[in-house]
Amino acid sequence: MGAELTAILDASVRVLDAETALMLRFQAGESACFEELVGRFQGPLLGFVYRLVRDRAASEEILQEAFLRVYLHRARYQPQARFSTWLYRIANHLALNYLRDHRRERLHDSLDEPEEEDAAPRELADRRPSAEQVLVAASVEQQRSARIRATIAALPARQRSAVVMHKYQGLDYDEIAGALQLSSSATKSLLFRAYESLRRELKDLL
Amino acid sequence: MKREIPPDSDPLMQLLEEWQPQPELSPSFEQRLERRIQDAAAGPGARWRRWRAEVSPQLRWASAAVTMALLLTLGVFVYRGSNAEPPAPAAYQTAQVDPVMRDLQTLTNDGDLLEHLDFLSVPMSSTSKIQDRD
Repeated sequence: MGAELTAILDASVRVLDAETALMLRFQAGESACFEELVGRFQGPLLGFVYRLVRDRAASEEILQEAFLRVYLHRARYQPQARFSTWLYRIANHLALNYLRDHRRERLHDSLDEPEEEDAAPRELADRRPSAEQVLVAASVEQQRSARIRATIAALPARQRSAVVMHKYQGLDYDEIAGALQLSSSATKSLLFRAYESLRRELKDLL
Repeated sequence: MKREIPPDSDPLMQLLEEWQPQPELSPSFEQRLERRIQDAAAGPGARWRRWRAEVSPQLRWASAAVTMALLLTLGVFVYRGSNAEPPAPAAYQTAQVDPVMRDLQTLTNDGDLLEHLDFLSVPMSSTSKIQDRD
């Protein structure tokens, strides 16, 4: 019976993408598939969540929660949607909840505030004044990067998520639409408006 | 106006490429996730059971003793607080009466006394008349 089930699953998932197939095998009881999924998605998903919440520790917590929910609610997964879509939907939901709960703290966030990964070079700059030119260039780069980060952060929540999924995670329209629970045309419209806002706000850097 | 998403060659898309944060997961990420999954799968009270399993019996006894000592100390403080003498009522707190008020009170008392002493003069004359009649 077990072998038959595995054969049927193997046949049916051949047409699905690899991650969805792994998820279906995990649903069928193969725990090792869950570890494989965590290994495959933890890096990209951290990049996605970090771009939304901009706090490494909080991003890690959100990731833990997202994978935990996948584990606990594996029976609810339906292969109509790709596994990545389902996972991004969960992570996006958790990240937006986090941002809503910490809105007051985020109000103090400013353009001048260095991002976590920007902080180390700045400290290095303090210690090595001899490399002045290099540091000036790095500082300009940091400022541009901070400006882009802040402009994306200022977008409405759905537009922000859509831009990060499209531009930085490489998700296609259908995947973004599935993750945001929108139609494909609504997703395209959302992305168009988001990019137009970004173009307007960043025109002096273009 | 055609509503199209900008292609990768668009200057805006190239500018957005400049924001490339590279956060890294902490080395204990998978270990912590595994633990959370075990806790969630084991149901409520799993953390407590795991703590009991991981901690040596001596340490368990020591922590139980410390907890008892703290509870006893807390109990003594609560008991003392409930049995403390109440503060003296305001009527007894005469030591701090204003000296001016005390002097006025003394004068009033003296005035009363003098008024009561007046009756001495009246009975004196009447008694003398009675004696005269005798």
